[in-house]
Amino acid sequence: MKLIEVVFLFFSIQLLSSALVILFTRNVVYAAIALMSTLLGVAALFVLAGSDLLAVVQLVVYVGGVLILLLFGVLYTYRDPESYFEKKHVLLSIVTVVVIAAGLLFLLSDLSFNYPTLSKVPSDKAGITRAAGQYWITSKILIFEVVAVFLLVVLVGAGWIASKVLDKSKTEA
Amino acid sequence: MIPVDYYIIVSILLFSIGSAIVFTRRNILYVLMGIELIFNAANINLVAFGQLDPDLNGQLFSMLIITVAAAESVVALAIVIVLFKKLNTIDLNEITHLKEK
Amino acid sequence: MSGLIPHIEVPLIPADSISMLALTIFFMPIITFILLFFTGKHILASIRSWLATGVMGVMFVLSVYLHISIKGEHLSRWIWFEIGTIKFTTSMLLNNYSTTMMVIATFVSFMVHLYSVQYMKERRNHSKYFPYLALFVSSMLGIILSDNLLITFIFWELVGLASFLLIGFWYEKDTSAAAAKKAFLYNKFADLAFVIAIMILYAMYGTTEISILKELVNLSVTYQAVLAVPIFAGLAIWFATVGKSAQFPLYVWLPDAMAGPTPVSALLHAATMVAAGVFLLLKTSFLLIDWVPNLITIFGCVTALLAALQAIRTFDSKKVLAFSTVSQLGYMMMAVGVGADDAAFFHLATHAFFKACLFLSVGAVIHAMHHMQSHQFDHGQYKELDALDMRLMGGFRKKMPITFAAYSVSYAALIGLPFFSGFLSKDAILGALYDRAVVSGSWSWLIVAVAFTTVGLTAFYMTRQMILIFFGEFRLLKTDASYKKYFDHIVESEWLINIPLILLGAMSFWFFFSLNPLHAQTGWWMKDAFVSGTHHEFHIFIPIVASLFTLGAIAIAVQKYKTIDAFVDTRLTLTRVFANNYFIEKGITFLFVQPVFMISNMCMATDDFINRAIHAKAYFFIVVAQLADVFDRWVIDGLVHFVAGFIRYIGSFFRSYLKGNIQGYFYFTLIAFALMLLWLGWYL
Repeated sequence: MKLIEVVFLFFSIQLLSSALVILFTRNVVYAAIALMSTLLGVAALFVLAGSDLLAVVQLVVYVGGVLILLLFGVLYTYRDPESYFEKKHVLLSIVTVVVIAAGLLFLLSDLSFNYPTLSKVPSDKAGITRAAGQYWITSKILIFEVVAVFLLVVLVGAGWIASKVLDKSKTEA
Repeated sequence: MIPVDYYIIVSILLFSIGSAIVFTRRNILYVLMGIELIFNAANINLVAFGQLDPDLNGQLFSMLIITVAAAESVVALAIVIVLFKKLNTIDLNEITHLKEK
Repeated sequence: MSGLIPHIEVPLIPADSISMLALTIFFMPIITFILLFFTGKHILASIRSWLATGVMGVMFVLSVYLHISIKGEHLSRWIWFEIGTIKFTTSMLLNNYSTTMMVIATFVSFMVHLYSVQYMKERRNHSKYFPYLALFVSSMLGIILSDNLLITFIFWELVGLASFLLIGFWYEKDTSAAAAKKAFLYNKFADLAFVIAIMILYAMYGTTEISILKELVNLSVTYQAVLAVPIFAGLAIWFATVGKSAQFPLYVWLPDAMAGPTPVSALLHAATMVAAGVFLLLKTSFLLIDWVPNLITIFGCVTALLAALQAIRTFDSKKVLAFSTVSQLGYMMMAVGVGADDAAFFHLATHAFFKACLFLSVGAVIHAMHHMQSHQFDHGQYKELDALDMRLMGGFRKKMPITFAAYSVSYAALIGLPFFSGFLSKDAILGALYDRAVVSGSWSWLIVAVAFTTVGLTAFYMTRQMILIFFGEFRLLKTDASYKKYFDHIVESEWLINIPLILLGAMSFWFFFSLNPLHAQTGWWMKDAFVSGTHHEFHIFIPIVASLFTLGAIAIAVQKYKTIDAFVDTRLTLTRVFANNYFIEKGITFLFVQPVFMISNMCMATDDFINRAIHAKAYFFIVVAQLADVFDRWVIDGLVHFVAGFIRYIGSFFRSYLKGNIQGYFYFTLIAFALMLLWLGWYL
């Protein structure tokens, strides 16, 4: 086994176990922390796949953005975790995981991907950042613009929903 | 280089765990986390296959997915807040308004 | 065939100043009517009455002026309306007939108006009374002036309407309403004949202008002989006058019409309504040819006799006068029938004055009786009192001398005593009848005999009425002594009532009509130039015989009623016959009403049968429909409901697994997805 495969195995186990923590923990803060660990593991896998740019974006957007948002949500809606009805949770979770994983593996084991060998890796030693940046900003600029507008709409919409409801609750109180 | 099959296996397992979270956890925040895990599983696939593509379309697509996921979580959290304000709970067992009265 | 009728161009003649004056007189009461009818109660009652009366006075004066200044005939004709190429003309004819009639009508109306000012004072519905009178008078003037049958018909109907309104003036009394309805229906029945006459004449001659028709009828003598059309037209016109001028068998409406106010009765009997019929007949006398005049004479004779007989047994003071009017109209019709148009018109004129006077004086007595009743009412002991019943009257001679005097004079005129107008006119009619009998012989002598008998009967019933009302004791006291103090209060009527009585009574003297008190032939009225060129033989024995009849009847009546102080009806059967108007109404019911009812009953039975058939059919379809409904409900609907219910059951079975939990839906989605994958794998 090569070193890189060891590293891959390590990060895989790290992110999957963190995901299982999310699945089984009762404390939502633990779950958030485990989520951060999982996302970091995924970022490591991105690096291993030669996509260092995405790994950075993963860190910035997920760990720096979404996770913080989730933590705020946790703060805002916190209740006693014991109050949630979680009967047969563990068994059901395991069964679900096994069934879905088995099904998909079974399905994929039947498929044969006709992909080229990995010797044709496009990235140079400096990573793909420069090439991707030039390529996306020139040929695929439309996608970026659409995404920009989409984000703007989401921001305004989310703010509007929350503020509207807050106002209403105020008047109700 | 790590074979793509490994990535696919990891991604399947991550997807299964994410799905299980979405299916079984009662707290909406867990469900959101599960959805993020599913997104990440998809991303892993895209990146794993995308490293074979000289045009970097896989990376581009996972970039889009990250963006959409961020937007999704923003909106979802706004909705969670609305729900909590209206119903004073985020327990999915208590949010059964879809049921026919 | 139409070539037999010569075509006469209908010339348009502009109205000269005399005609304009006549038109002015004609429009005055119309304006009064419109003014008073629409202002109604907004102006004072006294202003209202005096306005109407003043207008009538002015009309009278203008009529007199018109009558004096007229020379010969004044015909004016103008276009009424045009339909396509048909120019419908209307015309107005002024001659001695019409102007004299206008003078009579306006004079009597003026007197009646004067009388009404007092008589109708403080009566209910006063605001409608004078407009109706004005309408009545204007319609009568329309009939007098019009030279067009269609226009005449319009005013003819308006007279009917006005009489309906006035007879039913106190319509809250059942008798009044019934009498008005009766008068209206009898008149309408007769008026149908008028319509038929107009249709016949228009179809044959293409015009309704009377003067043109006259020329045409005279020109196309051969044509008449072939088709007898003008005969039927004349018959129809006569039948129209049977209704309006109250001839047998349609005269029964006239006695009932006494339910109206007394001045209205006077107007109705003297100058307007009943005179309209005779006047129309005189106007269209050129149509009365062949056997129609004989028919008119016979019916007039029957009318005169029957009405006089009935007057003998009537106790209602106004009805006696009403029957008397019918009887006198019979005389006029007889005169028309024998071709003595001038005599008929003469009698119409004299009769108008003395009959109006009689009505008004009896009205004054009734007024007094009413006052007595209302006095008693004021003292809180109201009793039902028939103020018209002559059996309860008596002794009014001393209480109301002026009324008595006026009554006596017109009484003398009516029964035909010498020196009074009735003597002259009745003499003229009897003379004409005699002349006719001499010519045609046979049954005509019977007519003469009946006419003379009726003269005696007239004297008898009028003497009876006079004695009952004005002589003897006041008989009401015999039945109820409580009236004593009120009877003592009775005095002569107010001067507003007396003046018309005096003026009308004065018109009953001979010198207004002829300087010779015993014969009218030399008087201005019967001068040859007046109405017709026929020469009248004077028979000295006729007035003598008539006077003998009269005097004898007076003697019998005085003998019979002199000492009488209370009435017990001894001949009930006879009274019942009279009270039933010789069963004329029953006869009409039997002849006309009952057949109509019978036919309608038969129609109803047929209708009923058809109805039943339709119902049976409907029931059949209802039963079928019910069966179809059951089938529909249980079989077709049942199937649909079964299918729907089955599917609903399945749906609710599956729905019971959806508890609203989102994650439950996720599971189902997952299962569905897995099944899809399996299905996909099946093919792979």
